Amino acid sequence: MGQAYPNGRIYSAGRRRLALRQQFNVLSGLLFREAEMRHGQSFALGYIASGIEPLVIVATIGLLFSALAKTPPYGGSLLLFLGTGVFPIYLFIHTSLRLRQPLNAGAQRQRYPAERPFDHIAIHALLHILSSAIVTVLFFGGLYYLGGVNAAIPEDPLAALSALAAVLLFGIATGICNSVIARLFPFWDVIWPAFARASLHFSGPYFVAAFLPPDSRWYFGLNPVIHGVNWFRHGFYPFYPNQLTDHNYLLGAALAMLAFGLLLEAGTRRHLEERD
Amino acid sequence: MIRLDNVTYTYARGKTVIANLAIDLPTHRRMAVLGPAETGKTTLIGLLSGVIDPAEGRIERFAHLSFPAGYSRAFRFSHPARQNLAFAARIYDADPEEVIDFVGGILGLGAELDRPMRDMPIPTRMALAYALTYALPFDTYLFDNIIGPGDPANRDLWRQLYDARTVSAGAILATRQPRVAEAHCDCALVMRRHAAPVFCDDIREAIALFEEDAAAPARAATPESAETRDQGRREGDGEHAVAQAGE
Repeated sequence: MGQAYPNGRIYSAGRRRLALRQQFNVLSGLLFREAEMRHGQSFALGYIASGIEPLVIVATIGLLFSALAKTPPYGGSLLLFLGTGVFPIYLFIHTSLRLRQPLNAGAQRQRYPAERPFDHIAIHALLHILSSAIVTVLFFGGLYYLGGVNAAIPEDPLAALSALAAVLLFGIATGICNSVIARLFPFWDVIWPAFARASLHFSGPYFVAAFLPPDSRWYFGLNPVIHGVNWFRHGFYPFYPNQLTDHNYLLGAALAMLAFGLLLEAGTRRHLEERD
Repeated sequence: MIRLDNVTYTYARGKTVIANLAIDLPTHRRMAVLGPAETGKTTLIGLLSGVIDPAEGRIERFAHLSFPAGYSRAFRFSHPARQNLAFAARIYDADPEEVIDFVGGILGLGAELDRPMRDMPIPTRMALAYALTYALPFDTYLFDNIIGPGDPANRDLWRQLYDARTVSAGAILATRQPRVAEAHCDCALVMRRHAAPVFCDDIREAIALFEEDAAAPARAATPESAETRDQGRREGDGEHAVAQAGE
């Protein structure tokens, strides 16, 4: 046999070095594989497809509101107001849906022993950040350059970004919980998308939460995403009313959910491994 | 070296397969895991490779261990074989091109590598999975029962690959056939039904112990094996005899 046996480059490296190197290899390998295909499409098409949904929602609500000849609920541009609501909400919805993938039963079985579940979570989260960042930048950039909406460039970019980061964390935590719950009760995979998409309307994409009647406002305030939306809008509108903008509530909910998800995962791991 | 620190593995239904195993195993030698059925050989290979995690205890690996040879769960059958091989190569720190050339070369695959793996006949998939194992550089290769899949025509090929790889790397081979253990290994961990596993430095010693264990329960046996060295102690498990006859 004439073949040369492939040699490792770290064949006799130390143990710690080996672990680090292996971690790097797994993450980069997964990154390339997961980035190649999305929704059964090639890289670019798959990512455009995942960005279509918030755009369609913004367009339909925008169309509806112009047909009803309503003035924008806040600020000068209806599309900007809707966009500042729909994009963070969809960041949450899509993250909570997508982060179910890395921990589902199939992905758990179909892996090499070197890939750990949390490598998959990290890679899916990273790719998701990239794809949503592209769509978000395109939307707000397009509104600024093509729509001539000067307010589409945030006054306070730091506030806008930290709001998105907090919403993303909440989405990741919810996604981890979802994936474990869905493995325990498979019907959760049907319930959650319906529930998540319906939650759009309770997170304030087309109304100003502060202008709600005080009685119902308290109930709306239970939804952590609405705090994220208002936080995000503070980045665009300097004088946006700051009721229902409790940063700590959103972050607390995200961390509590994350802790709950990780504990649930650790607690049910062996049970699920053996059942599947 | 692999250090097992009080490792226990229990199924959800409560059956303990491996109980409080504390032992150091060599990774630079060719070691057999020899034992009768249901003594946790496959479980041990799974634990060492990391496919399953112990219920209690810790496993410290001071070497780069392979997945169980022929591991095909991680393949994506909708993707071409080439992409699957490249992914495995990236994860296990080999050069993707080298690995693809190696696997394609020894199996004589050409255009098949670029079609989705689900179009590949199942024996070829298995052969591909084993060839991939040998293609990747590990310190220690883990085998569960066989060193290469079925087809007698290919037996020499797998034997050649095994011998070539174990010149510089170690191997751990789980088997319940002393003949296989003797042919492929120099030392053994003997798994026993009612006692803790015993590591034997010499493969003959291990086989003697294994056969002693097999003879201990005075059950009806089928004396058929002709090449026994020790006819008196050889009458073992019916199961074991069938496995040998069928081989």
